[in-house]
Amino acid sequence: MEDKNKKKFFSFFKRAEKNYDTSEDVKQREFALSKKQNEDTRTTEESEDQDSTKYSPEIVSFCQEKMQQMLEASGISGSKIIAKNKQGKMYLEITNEKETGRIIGKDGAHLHAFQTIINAMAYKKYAQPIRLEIDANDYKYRKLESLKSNALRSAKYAQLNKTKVELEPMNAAERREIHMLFQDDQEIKSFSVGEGRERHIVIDALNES
Amino acid sequence: MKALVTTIVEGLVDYPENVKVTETVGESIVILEISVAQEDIGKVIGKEGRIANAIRTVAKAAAAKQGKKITVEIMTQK
Repeated sequence: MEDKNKKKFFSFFKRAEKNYDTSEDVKQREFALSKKQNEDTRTTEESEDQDSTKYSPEIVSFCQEKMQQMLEASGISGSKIIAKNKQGKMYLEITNEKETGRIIGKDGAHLHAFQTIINAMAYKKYAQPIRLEIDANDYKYRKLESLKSNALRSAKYAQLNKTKVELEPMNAAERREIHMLFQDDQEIKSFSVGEGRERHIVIDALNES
Repeated sequence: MKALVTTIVEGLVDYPENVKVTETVGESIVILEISVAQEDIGKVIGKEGRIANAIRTVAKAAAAKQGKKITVEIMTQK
C-alpha cells in the first residue's frame, strides 16, 4: 500500500518534472523550426542560380498570363499577379482589392483548383512537372503557419498526457509540412490515417517507460 | 462561362481544334458539356478526376458571381 502510494507520488513528481521538460522541448522545437526556415530561405537565396531556374522565366510568365486570363474570364477584374520565391517554392501571389474572397474560395478551394489547372496547363506545354503555388493575400502562407503552430501545441499536449492527438483533415501539401516538423523528433511520431478528404494526421507521443 | 471553360480545356489537350463546349442557359442554372478528341479525355479528367473537379470548382466560382448554379459534364463519344 505504502509502496503504491510512493509510486504514485513519484510518478506525479516525474510527471511534474516532465511538464517542465516538455515545455522546454516545445520551445526547442519551435526554435529548431525557425532556424530551419531561416536555413531554407538562405538555401534558396544561395541556390537561386541553379534551383529557381528550374522554372524558367518563360514558364513563370506563361503561368502568370494564363492565371490572369482565367480570372478575367471568371469575371474577376483588377488583379495583380506577382511571382515570388519563398522558402524554395515558387509562389504566384494574386492581389485584388475587392474580390479576394472569391479568389480564395471556401477553405482555399478556388486557389487549389486554379493551381491544379495552371500546373496541368504548364505541364502540357513544357512537358516537365511544374508545381507553382498559387496564393492570394498570403492566405495559404498564413494558414500553413497557423496549422504548424497548432500542430506544435497538440504535440505538447500529447507529450504531457502521453497520448495521441488527431488533427483536423488537411490536404497533402499541408500534411507534408506538418510531418516535416516531427521527422527528426525522437519522442513524437506523426502519421496519417483515413482516406480522401478525411485523411488527417495523428500525433503520437511515444511512451518511453 | 463558356469562354472560361473553353480556354481551360484548350490549354490541356493535344487537339485544341477538336474541343467543343456547348452551353445551355436556364433561369438560374447553366449546363456546360465538354467534348474533346477521344485521346484527350484522360487529360481533361485527370487522375481520379482531379482536373475535372478543378474545372468544376473554377466554373462554380465564375457562375456564383452571376448568382447561378453550374453543371460541367465531360461527354464521351459514342
